Amino acid sequence: MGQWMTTGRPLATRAGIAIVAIVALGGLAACYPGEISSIQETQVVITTYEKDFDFSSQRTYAMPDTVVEICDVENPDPGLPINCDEESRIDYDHANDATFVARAKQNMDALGYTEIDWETVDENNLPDVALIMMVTVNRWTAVTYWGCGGYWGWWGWYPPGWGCGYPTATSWEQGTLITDMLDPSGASNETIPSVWSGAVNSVLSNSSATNVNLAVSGIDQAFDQSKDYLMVQ
Amino acid sequence: MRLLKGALASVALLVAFSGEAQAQDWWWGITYNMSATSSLPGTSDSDGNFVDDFSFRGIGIEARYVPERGGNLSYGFSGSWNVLNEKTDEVVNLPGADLSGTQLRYFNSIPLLVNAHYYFGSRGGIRPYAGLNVGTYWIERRADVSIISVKDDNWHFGWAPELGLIVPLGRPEVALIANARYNWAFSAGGSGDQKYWGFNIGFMYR
Repeated sequence: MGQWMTTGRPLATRAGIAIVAIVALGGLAACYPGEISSIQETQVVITTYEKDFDFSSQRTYAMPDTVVEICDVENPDPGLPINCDEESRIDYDHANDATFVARAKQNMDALGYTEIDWETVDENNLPDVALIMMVTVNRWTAVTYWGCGGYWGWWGWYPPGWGCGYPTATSWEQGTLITDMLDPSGASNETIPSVWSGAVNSVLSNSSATNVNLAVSGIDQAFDQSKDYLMVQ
Repeated sequence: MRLLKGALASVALLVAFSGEAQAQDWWWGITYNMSATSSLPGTSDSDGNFVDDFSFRGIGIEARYVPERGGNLSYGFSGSWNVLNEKTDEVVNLPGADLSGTQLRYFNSIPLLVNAHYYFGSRGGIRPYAGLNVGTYWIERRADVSIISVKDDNWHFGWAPELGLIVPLGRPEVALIANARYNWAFSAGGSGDQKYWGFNIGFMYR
């Protein structure tokens, strides 16, 4: 140190200056900088697979042309981990089923699988794996309670409309498209085990074209991040 | 928790001791802190490279007590806040599952350390120094993906060797300080060792 002096301000004053400085600087920083800047960045693709399943020996697949809606209003499944009640569920119009199914088939073909026509599938003509697609569209609502304003709150004064615990409700629509790969040879008690699943989830845009692009890119990503073990050997 | 109590007790003792030395040899510092984890050698944590980006977000304060005027030794304590963050879309591989999507990753560290420093050079000149910090680190790691947020936070025991420089600024009560610290927080609460570099610059005053 240049010179260690023997006189100076009282300790409390020096500590006070440091604390005020740290609070001021703290206001400029943030625990969680950065943010999601586009609807595409809300997309998440999760793939899961059965580790003991021998993907390398699979050669053929079959896939129906219809996307199944997960929320069945007529016969609701209470075990589903999503909210299918009337308030949150949004009807899915099936207008883009062909696009989604075709994209999944395109990916399967690229991985080396051979398609068997779904209409020809029976007990004597089973594919190695069967693919089905499922979808759900839901409305989500979150309520945020703003904390006290850090700068104004210091003095106990709040500008109009600003205060402690001021609630703000945010609502958004979210879509999930799931491609499931089933193993018909493992069927028992009317249950066919799933050996691979690719789930695409995103907040939805007001633009139908954007939503379709999100789903298609998500389908591609699901297969791409699984290709190391799905690829036909 | 015992480690935390020990560190806080050490700080409390130093503060109490300062009563006798008031207006004598206590120097206070405010620093702007930069930090890096896996972008530099010798860092990263046991869970992989959680944040790669260099961080320009951080602040710190510290106090140093010099028993002998113009001497070579000081004892003190420090507290700081380092924020590292990264936006990435790399695929996360888990047992039996893979996840992709834009991820916002945050690494918040608040070290509360006691320290000792040895100064080279002579009174009135530029003083390079070496030191050792020991204490607790509160570290929170958080990852946001879409509307999902996952985080863990733990108190870690840790230490940080330090090299630095004190440069007098023409007035006896103010000096410039610059230092580098290698922060090593040991594993705690299921979270592995956390290591990051800190590069700090600021002012010391009395």
